[in-house]
Amino acid sequence: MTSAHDLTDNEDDGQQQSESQIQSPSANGISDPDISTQNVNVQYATPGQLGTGHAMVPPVYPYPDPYYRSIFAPYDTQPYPPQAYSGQPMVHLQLMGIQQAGVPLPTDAVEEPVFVNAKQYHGILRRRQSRAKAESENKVIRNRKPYLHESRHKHALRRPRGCGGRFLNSKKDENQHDDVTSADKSQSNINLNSNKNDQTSSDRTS
Amino acid sequence: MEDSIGGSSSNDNNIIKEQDRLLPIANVGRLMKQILPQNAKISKEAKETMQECVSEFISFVTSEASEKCRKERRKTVNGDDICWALATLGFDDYAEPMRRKSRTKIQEASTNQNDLC
Repeated sequence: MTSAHDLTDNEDDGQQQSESQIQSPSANGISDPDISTQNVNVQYATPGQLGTGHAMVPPVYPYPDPYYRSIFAPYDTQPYPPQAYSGQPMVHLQLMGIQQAGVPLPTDAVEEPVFVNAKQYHGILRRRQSRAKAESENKVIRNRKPYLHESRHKHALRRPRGCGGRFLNSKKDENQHDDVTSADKSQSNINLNSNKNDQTSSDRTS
Repeated sequence: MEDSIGGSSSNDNNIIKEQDRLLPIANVGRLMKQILPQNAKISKEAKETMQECVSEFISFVTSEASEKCRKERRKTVNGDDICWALATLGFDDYAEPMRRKSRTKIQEASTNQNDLC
């Protein structure tokens, strides 16, 4: 698999850029190095012990052990377990529907097998290796920044605010402030506005 | 905005920024709001979780399409490769509407060319 990535990188610069983006990991919540090590070990140990045609389906998360949470990283965001639980039935139902078309089989080397769609098995393994490679090479930032630019953050702090903490004289901001956090807390509103200003900057750049 | 080259193994100091790895959270929130009733609220936590999910899904599908291009010795991943990857990964219900959309765009491009002639 590693040689495959090397070949892809050698072909084209544009392809290399897209490959680098493909290899970006999404497990933002794993801040503990021990968990990261376990995750890497599991990812690299799995291919050698398993054949083709295996399937996996993500079950509910009854395990408080972080070890199991790292196993389920491809399907869920680590830092928000409660939200994940409430959102899981939808994803689970959808995957159950897909499972009827595919052949589910036990596949993982850990104590309890994890079932996935057979069609997605190789893709999942490839993504795990890409994320592990990106983590080892690029030291991806795991913690989210409240804002990207200090000057914009200070500007947002200086803007006048009305009742409830929202900015005054701005229809665009009013339309974007629909989430509960910004409606309840003024401090969170600061971060949200800074983030949105930064996203606007990103949109302008692209 | 400068993009960091994350795939290079010789540059250990390069860090993939959050804005390069994830879709903009405001756009994700807007898409989520379109499908909800008028008075619904979306927490920041929900937006961040969805941000992670959709970004990983994009990488997952694109990785499958890229693997197909690698085997066929092609350098460019096109729309058909993405539709093929969706079908291969079991997302058949999404692959067909995407194909129809792709054809519509091609027809529109042809129409524009005819108007220019």
